[in-house]
Amino acid sequence: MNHFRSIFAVLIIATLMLTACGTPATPAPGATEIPDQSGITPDATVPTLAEEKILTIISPTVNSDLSPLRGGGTAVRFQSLWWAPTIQGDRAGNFFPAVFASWSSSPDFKVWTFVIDPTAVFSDGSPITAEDVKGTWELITQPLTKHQRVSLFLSGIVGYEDAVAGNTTTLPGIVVIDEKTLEVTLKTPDPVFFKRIATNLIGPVKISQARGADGQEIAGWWDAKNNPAVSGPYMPVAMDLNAGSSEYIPNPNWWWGSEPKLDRIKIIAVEDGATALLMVQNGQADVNFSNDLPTTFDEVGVDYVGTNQNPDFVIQVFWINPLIAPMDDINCRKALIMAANPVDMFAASHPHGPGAAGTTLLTPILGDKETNQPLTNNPEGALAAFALCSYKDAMPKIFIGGTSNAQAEIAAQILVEEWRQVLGIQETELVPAMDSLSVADQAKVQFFRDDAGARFSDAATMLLNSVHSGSGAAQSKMGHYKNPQVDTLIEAALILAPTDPNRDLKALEAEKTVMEDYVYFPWVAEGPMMHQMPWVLNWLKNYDWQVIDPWNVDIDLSLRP
Amino acid sequence: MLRYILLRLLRWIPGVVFLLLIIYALMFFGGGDPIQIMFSREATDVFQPGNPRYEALKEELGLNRPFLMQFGDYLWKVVHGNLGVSLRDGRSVTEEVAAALPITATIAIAATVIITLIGIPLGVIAALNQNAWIDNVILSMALFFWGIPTFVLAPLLMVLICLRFPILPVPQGWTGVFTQNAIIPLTVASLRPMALVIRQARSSVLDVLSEDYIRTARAKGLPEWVTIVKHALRPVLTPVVTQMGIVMSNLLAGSLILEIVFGIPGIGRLMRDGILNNDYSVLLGCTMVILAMVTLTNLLVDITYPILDPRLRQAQQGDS
Repeated sequence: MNHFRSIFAVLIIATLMLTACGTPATPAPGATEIPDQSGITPDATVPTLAEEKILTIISPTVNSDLSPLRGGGTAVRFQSLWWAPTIQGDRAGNFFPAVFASWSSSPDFKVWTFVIDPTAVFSDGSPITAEDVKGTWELITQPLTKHQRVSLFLSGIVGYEDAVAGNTTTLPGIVVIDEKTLEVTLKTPDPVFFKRIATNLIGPVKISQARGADGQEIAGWWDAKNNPAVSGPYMPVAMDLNAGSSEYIPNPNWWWGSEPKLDRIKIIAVEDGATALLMVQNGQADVNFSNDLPTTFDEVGVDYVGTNQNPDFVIQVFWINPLIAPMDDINCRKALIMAANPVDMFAASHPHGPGAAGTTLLTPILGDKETNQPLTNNPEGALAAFALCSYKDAMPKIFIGGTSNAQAEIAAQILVEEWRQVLGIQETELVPAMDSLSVADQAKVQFFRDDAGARFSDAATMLLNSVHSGSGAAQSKMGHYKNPQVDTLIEAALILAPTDPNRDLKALEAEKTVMEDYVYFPWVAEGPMMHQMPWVLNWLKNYDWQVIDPWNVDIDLSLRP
Repeated sequence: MLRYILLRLLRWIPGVVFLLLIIYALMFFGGGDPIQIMFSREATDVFQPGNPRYEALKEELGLNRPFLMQFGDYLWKVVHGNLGVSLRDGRSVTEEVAAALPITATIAIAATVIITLIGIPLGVIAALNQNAWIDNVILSMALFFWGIPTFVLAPLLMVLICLRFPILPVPQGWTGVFTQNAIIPLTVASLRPMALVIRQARSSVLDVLSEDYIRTARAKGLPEWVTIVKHALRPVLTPVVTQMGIVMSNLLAGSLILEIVFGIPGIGRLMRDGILNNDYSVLLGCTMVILAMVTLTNLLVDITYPILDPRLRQAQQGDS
C-alpha cells in the first residue's frame, strides 16, 4: 500500500508542478512585456474595455525576426504599421511624399536629390535625418543583414557591388548634403528611381540604434524590450519572439497622416489554416495574412477574399527551363504552351477570383494599350508544333515545380490534363517541394511556377524583374536564360523617361522577343487577397502586401460579433 | 541504484554525440544549403553560388569550412554550454530551447497525468467487466480515438466546441495548463495515447486476475475491492508504467502536429522550423534536449520498476 501512496504523491507533485507552469509570474525567456510608453495616461485616451479597438492579425508563420531590415518573409507584410516608407505609392500608380517630402533628378537621371520632411520624427521624438537614410541603406546592403530585396531598390547606386560583397560598409554613391538632404548617384540613368525606392522595405531606421561600430546590425535592436524608435503610426510594446506574437499601440509622435484609429494591434502566429479560419469566423481575429483553404470563400465570403479589388501588376507564370529535355527543342516548348488554356486553369484555381487569367507579362501593366497577343490556347498550332518536336515519340517525363499551394496544384493539374487531351502527353509529375525529389531529378524540373511583377506600373521594370538575364527567374527557374536582344531592349527602355512613349514600345518589343523564345506560360494575373473581416475598415494593401495608410485602418465595433 | 543511474547518464553522452554527428552530416550533405533556403523564396537572383553576396554571407557565417571543422566547432560550443546561434533569426538557440522546452514538458506531464487518472481506471473497469456492455463501450471508444490522427481530431473538436457549440474560444498559443486555452490541446494530446493505456491496463488486469494468488485472496474471503486494489493492481502497473514511459516519450518528442495546430511554441514546432530552414544549431539543440528528456523518462521508468515489483527489487539487491 505504501507504494500506492508513493505513486499518489508523485501525481500530486506533478499536479503542483503543472500549477506552477500554469500561471507564470514572469514571461518566458524571449518574451517581453513593456509598459505602455505612449506617454498618454490610460484614463485620458483608452476607452473602456468594451469600446477598445483592438485589431488582431493572424500571421501564417512564426516571426521570430521582426527587423525592418530583412526586406522579406511574412513579417514585412505588417511593416507599414510601424515603419514609414521613403515615398508612398497607391494602387492607382500615384506617388506621394512620406519620409521624403520632395525629390528631383539631374537632367540625365543619374543624380537624385531627396529632401526629408522637416516634421519627420521617430517615436522617441528625435528627427529622421539624412544620416539615418544613408546608414539604413548602407546597412541593408551588408550580406549579414540578409535583406531579401535590396538589389531591387539600391543596385543602381554607385558602390553597391562592393558593399553587397562585404568589402566595405559604406556606399559612396550616397552623400549627405545636410541634415535633411541626401544626394544619390547612380551608375546608369534611371528615370524611375524614385518609384523604385517607394517602399516600406527600405524606410529609414534610427541608425544610432540599429548599427554597431563595426558597421553591422546590432542584434535584436528592434525588439520591444529595447524600446526601438520607430517611424510608423504604431509602435511595439510587447513581443514574444518564441510564440511569434507582438503588440503595438499608437505612436505618440506620429508625424505623417491622421491620428491612428486603433487602440492596439495584436499580431499572433497561427500556422494551421483551419485554426486561423475558425478564429476569424469566431471573431477572435480580424485579419489573416494568408492561409486560405478550399472552403475559405464559402465560410467567410467575398469581402474577405477580396474579389472586389483590381488586379495587381503581378502575374503568376510557369517558367520553362530551355536547357532541359524536351524543352531544349523550341517546337516542344511551343506545343506545350499552345496546348493549354490559362482561362481553364484560372477558372479551376480561382473560382471566386480575385484577378484574371494570365495573358502576357505586360498586359496587367499596359492594360488597354495595344499589347502582344498571348500564345496560349491554340490546339491546332500546338499539334503542328508537336509534329516538329524531336521528342514527340519519346517524350521525357515533365516535372512541374512550385506547386506548393492548393491553387498552383489545381492549375498544374488542368495544365497536364490539357496536354494529355491535346498532345497525348501522359508522363508528368507535380513537385510541391524540390526537396521531395532526388538530387538527380531536381535537375530535371522543366516547368516551375513562380510570380513575376513590379511594385509600380512600369513595363520595362516588369521585364527587368522577370525575363532580363539578371532577374531571379532567368537565373534560376529558366536555367540562366539570356537573350542579348531582350536584355538590350530592356536596358534601352529603362533609361528613357516615363513620359517617353518609346519606353513602353521597347518593352513590348522585348516581350515579343521573349515570347518568340517560348520560355514561359502565363497562368494568372493576380488580384490582392484582402483576408479581412467586414468590420475592419480601410484595409488596403500595396504591391508588397503591406497596408496602405495604416493610420486609417479602423474597426466598426457594431459589426463585430 | 545510484551507480545504475550514473551509468545510464554516462551512456547518454556517446549516444548524443553519435546522433548529433549523424544529423549534422545528413543536413550538411543532404539537407540543402541553408543560405539558399534562407533566400530561395524571394531573392533567387542574388543567392546563387558564386554570387558575391552569397559567398560573403557564407564566409561570415562560417559555412564555407570543411564538415569536420564545423561539427567540431559546434561540439566545442556545446561542451561550453552554448548551443549556438540560429542561422535564420540570429537568436541564441539556448534561449529558444529554454523557452520551448517547459511548454512541451508541461503538456507532456499534464497529458500523462490525465491519461493516468482516467486511462488506468477505465482499463481496470473494462477488465473487471470483461465482455459486458461497459467493456465494449470503453474498448470501442479507445479504438475510435486511437484511429483518429491528431490533425483530424484537433480541427474536428474545434469546429464542434468552438464554432457549432461555442463553449470555448479557439485555443491559440500557450497560456498555462490551468487555463481555458489548454483544455482542447490537452484533450487532443491525451485521447490517442489514452487508448493504448486503457488496452494495456485491461489486458494486464485480465492476466493477473487469472493468477493463483488472486484466487487464493478471493478464497480467503477478502472483499473484492481489497483483492483488486491491493493484490491485482500492483503487478498490473509494471507493464502500464512501461507503456506510460513510451507515451510520455512520444508526447515529448512527437507533439509537432499538436503544436502547429494550436500555435503552441514548443520544442516540436521549433524543431520543425530548424528542419525546414536547415538551421543546424536549432535542429541539433532540439535533438539533444529531446534525447535528454526521453532518456530521463526511460530512467524514471527503470527506477519505478523495483518500487512496483518486489521481485525486481530483490533481484537488484542480489546483483549488488
